[in-house]
Amino acid sequence: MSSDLEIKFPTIPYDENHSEEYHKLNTEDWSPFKGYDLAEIFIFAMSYAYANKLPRKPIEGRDKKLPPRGFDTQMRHMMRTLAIHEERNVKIVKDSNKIVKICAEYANAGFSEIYKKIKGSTANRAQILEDMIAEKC
Amino acid sequence: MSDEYEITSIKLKNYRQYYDQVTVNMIERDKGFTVFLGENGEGKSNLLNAINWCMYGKEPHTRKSASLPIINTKHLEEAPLESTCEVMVELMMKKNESRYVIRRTLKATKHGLEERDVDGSSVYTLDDQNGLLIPKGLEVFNIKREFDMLDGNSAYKPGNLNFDAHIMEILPENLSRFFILDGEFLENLFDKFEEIKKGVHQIAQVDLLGEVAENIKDIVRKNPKGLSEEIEELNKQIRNIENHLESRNDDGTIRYSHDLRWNENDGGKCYVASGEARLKDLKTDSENITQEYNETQQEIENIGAESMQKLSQDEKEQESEIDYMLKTNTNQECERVQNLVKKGPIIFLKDAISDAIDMISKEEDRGGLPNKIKRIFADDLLTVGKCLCGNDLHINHKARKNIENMRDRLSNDVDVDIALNIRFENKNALENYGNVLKDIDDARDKYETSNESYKNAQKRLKLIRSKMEKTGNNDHVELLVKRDNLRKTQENINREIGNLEYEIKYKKNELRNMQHSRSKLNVRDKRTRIFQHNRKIWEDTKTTIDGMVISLEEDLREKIQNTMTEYFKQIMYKDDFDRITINENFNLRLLKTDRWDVTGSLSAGERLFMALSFIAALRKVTGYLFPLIIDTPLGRVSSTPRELLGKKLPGFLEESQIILLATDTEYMAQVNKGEKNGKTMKELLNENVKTTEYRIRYDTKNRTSTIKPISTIEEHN
Repeated sequence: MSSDLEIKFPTIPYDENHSEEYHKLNTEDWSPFKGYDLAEIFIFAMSYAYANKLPRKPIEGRDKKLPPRGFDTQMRHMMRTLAIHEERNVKIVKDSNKIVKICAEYANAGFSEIYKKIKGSTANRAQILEDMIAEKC
Repeated sequence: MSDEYEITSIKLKNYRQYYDQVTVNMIERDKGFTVFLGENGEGKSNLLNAINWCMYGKEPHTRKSASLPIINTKHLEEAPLESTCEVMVELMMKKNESRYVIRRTLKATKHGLEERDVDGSSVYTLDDQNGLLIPKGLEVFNIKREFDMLDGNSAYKPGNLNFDAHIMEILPENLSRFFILDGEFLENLFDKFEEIKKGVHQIAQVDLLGEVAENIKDIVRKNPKGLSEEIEELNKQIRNIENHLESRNDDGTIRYSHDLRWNENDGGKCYVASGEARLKDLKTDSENITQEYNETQQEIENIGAESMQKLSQDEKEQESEIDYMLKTNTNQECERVQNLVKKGPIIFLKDAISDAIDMISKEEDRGGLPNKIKRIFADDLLTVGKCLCGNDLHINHKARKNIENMRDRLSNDVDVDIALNIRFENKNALENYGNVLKDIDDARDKYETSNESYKNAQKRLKLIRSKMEKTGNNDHVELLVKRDNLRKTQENINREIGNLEYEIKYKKNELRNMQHSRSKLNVRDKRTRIFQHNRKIWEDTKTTIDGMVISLEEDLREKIQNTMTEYFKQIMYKDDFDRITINENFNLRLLKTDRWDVTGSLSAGERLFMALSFIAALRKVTGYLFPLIIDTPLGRVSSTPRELLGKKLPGFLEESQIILLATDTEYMAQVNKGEKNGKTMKELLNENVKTTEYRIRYDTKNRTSTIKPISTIEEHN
């Protein structure tokens, strides 16, 4: 068992108002995330928000939960990395609740943007993602 | 000596049109064929029903509109009120030296029978009682089934087997429809591939194994209660993925999407929502579209000129190239998307990653990391009882207290050591950052190149088709449009198949990883260890059974396919075909020597020969050697195959008893009416085999049928 899983990781919240859109991204043919886990959409939204300097957005409504198991070691490290950078404190890695809160706020900010971009695009699925990434390369 | 079963006689007592007792002796195979002649409605099909009822208690050859009860109406009328009426069918059979009697008797008490008026005549009101038509007011009180062996004239019960088991040995019910045949069934045999598959599965017990595998799957999916939260959660996710792959809801019911299946005759049926079940639906539709496409293509070729055929050939090549390109293209798009979904976040987080690496390194440099080693060191000092400076660390000594406090603080901070792992992973990510970008560029280039080739191929195809349209007449244009639409639908379905296959592969991989994690977690405690051990045994068993099912089915299909091809070559009047293939859905295809599928354009005669070949192959492969009883086989068959059937049937299935039921037109009229010395079916058969004919005659006044041998005089008349 890898060491990161020894630290208990809480469930990851996302805004209930985004629930249907998460589901659409996960199931619709036009979405590049079709067939992927919600966790992957979450991480993409979170990192997109960071790269685009979107302000963190607290979850306003009721929250829905993503199970931590969907977040593999690499994803958790990305979340911890962002939290260290954000808090300017390495010791934050032992506070999983705080890490998750920071990341959930970033994901919340990024999600609406990426959903809008994906839904409004006529490009093919890969091109939509590539365009988003290209802005930051 | 032959191992075939033969029916030596059939005795009917008050069965449907047959009043009182009617006994008919059948001819053994080495003495020829038995032929029953009668017009429609005189009682031919009810002979098939009688055999079926005697053996299985069912009458599958009854028309829905039939108004005759199972028990003879004259017998019913004659029976006094509250007396017992009886209907009985008895089959005498033999195999080698053994002789058997199979008998089924139904007894009922006649109360006041309900009647109604139909077109001015009074008929009994009938009740459908388990598939049998019984007049209202007739109370069935006994149905007796007997299976006896005969020794001389005395009968005895053989062994310990019950009636059903004996019948199962002779011919299982699900196979009976392939032996006791009516013309309509033969004609449409190949539209019933689902039924054929089911029947063949039952015969080979493949379905039984499949059920066992399904049950094991349920056992494997069940998890013990009271496991850790982590395992429970993992189980839930595993179940979700399994449900997704099997397109099931949590309650185990099938989950459907709103997308309509391609086949519009399918009663508006929708595709299942996801996973392998959806893939199966899509593949079935894709095959059906291919079949219709091939038939359309064949039509185009049939009415086309040589130039059209050349263009058709170019078109076919182009289409297969496009198929290949589409698949490659779809795969490359999926890979490209996966690359971006997985690696996009690394690109987005690049600055944060660099920054975090610096911060962790600084923390390490100032001695803040790793905490675990410092804690061990503190533990060592406390164990040895000496400080670094050489002072003893007595209990209650202030220095000892300080070190203990430091150790406790470090214990709390051990979790921070994970930052070193993060730094390691992040450094790797940055070192590979160039490759990440390169991978994205490469995936895009590969996709664009293949997409470009795909588009060019489509342009070439469009060019070929526009040439075809110019060459063709109106029929061509219409057919080309139809084919074009089929092609587009097929492309869409194939694209989805490609995506779905990729998704399934991805999900299965995810599932494997989760199952692996669960196994690791399970090892922690004894209870789950035992459960895991049991689960492993079940999983291994299921894998073995799945393998058996696949290999059994493949083996069976291959045997039927090869034997069928042999028989078909033996009986068919054209020789430009190569072989018959049967795919996993039991779709049968006849391929010509140029590998072109001609199944869709077969004539009624060719379909009849193919059906007979299939039935012959089924007999041989399954080993059930029951007589072949065919009712009205020549319905829509034209003169050439009819003539050929007359000539070839005697040599086909040389050892099997064959009983034919035919109309006079089928049997006694000249087959090739245009020819001066054209022969009847009887004459054609008699060139190679003797025939014994019976006449079934229906007396409208008495509403009863009789069966009598046709005398030589009647025959000449």
